Amino acid sequence: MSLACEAKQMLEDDGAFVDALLWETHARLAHFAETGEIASIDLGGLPMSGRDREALDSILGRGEVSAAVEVAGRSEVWETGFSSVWRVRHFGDGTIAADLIEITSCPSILAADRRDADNAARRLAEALEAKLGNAETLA
Amino acid sequence: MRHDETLAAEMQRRGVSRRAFLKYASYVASLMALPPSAAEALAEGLAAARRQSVIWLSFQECTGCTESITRSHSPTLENLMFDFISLDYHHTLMAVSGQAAEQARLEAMAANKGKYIVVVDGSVPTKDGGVYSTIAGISNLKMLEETLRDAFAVVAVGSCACFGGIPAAKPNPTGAVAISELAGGKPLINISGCPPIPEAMTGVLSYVLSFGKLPELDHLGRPKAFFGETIHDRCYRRPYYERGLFADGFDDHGARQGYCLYKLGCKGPVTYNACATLKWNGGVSFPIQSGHGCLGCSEPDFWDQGGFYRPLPTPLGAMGPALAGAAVAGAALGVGAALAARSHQKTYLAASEKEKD
Ligand code: SF4
Repeated sequence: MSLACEAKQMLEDDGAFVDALLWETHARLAHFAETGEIASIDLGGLPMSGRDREALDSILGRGEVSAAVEVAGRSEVWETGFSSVWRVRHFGDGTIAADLIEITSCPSILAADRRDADNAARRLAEALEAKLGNAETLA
Repeated sequence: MRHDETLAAEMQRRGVSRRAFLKYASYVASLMALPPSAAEALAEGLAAARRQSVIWLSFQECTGCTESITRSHSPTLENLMFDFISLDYHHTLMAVSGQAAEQARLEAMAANKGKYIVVVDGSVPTKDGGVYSTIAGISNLKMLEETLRDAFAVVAVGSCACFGGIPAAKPNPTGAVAISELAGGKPLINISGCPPIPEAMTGVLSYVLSFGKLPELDHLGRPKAFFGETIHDRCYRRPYYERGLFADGFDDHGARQGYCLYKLGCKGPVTYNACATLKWNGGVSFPIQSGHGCLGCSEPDFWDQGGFYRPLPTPLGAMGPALAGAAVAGAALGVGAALAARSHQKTYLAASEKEKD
């Protein structure tokens, strides 16, 4: 193999890297099953090509849950084919802003924060009062 | 602008949930290579913070730094930073001018005494009493001194503010100096680059806002999260460098094959910045990807280092085989590569110095 081909091969040869990531995921998943300790792996700083991501996601597959979150742009969250292993992908400006593997029962971006409930209760009351007001006006 | 309510309360008032903080914090943690577990602490810190008063001073500069931070962002995630700060003074961006603008600066200083952050782009001319650059009749020198007095910290953005940059290039007719020479002991962060990467600016401001302290800095006062590795450490052309495959011209066979640009003067091996990973224009590309070597714009005196197209003086292969494997792993590149590059940088600077003598 010529030097140029070898170097090109080095640029493209990415299978080992994805395998290492999957083994790390496995170790953390096993630990979560045993202790309940959640974990997350940030794919952002890793030198992953589009092909790497595809390879990773094709092995992890898709599980029972898929969700889209619309806050400050779009986020996509899905449980992989392996229970408790989630993929969380935040978009900004159309490109991936943060890309994570989360090992948890439910990624925190999906759960509503109780501290937002106060405001929600007030808004719901206002909506109901407005509805009541409309009904009275019509009557 | 209300500075009394928390950012969480302000966002809630606008119908935005706490998920926005969580998402933004994941983004910043990822940018700054913080452990993902830090994202929640970062989100809590941001939600509990008040709008950070920022006074932005533009001195001897080209406005490229302001362009970088304001134009490379979408009105979505990255732009949230502008909801977290109150830009109380920025003479290029603010609607008012003249006396009214200066009044806004003085009012923000009085209202946020000891708490505001001063961001500076541009160097400060010191020759002849600083007459070479004035704003509203006030010399940059005096304005900096006056504004820094009650500041919490100062962030120098761009190579002019960090190291003197182009105004300080030989023969430095105005006696331009870096902000560090005039900061008078105030906590200082240097975010160098010509211009600096916008994510580095927003990431650092978010960190300070959340945790109330400065991030870890390198020996030049730059946040290690963005300046901890060289361009060369993370360059995708690195396997070609390791194999000794170089472009000899901008239009030869090597250039078309995407070979390493070392012989065309690439300063990647001695330049600490995050262009190779964060890239520019929303992650589209960076100079080396576009076929041009790195100019080394985030390093001190980059303008006076003997020519952008002159190859670095250290013999090829000095960082060679030992790192070949690591180059593929990329992420695994760490201390070894950093040390090698650091020694490479020393040799380069020493050679440049010798040449000057
Ligand atoms: S010398 Fe420049 S082009 Fe070559 S690998 Fe290093 S940073 Fe990349």
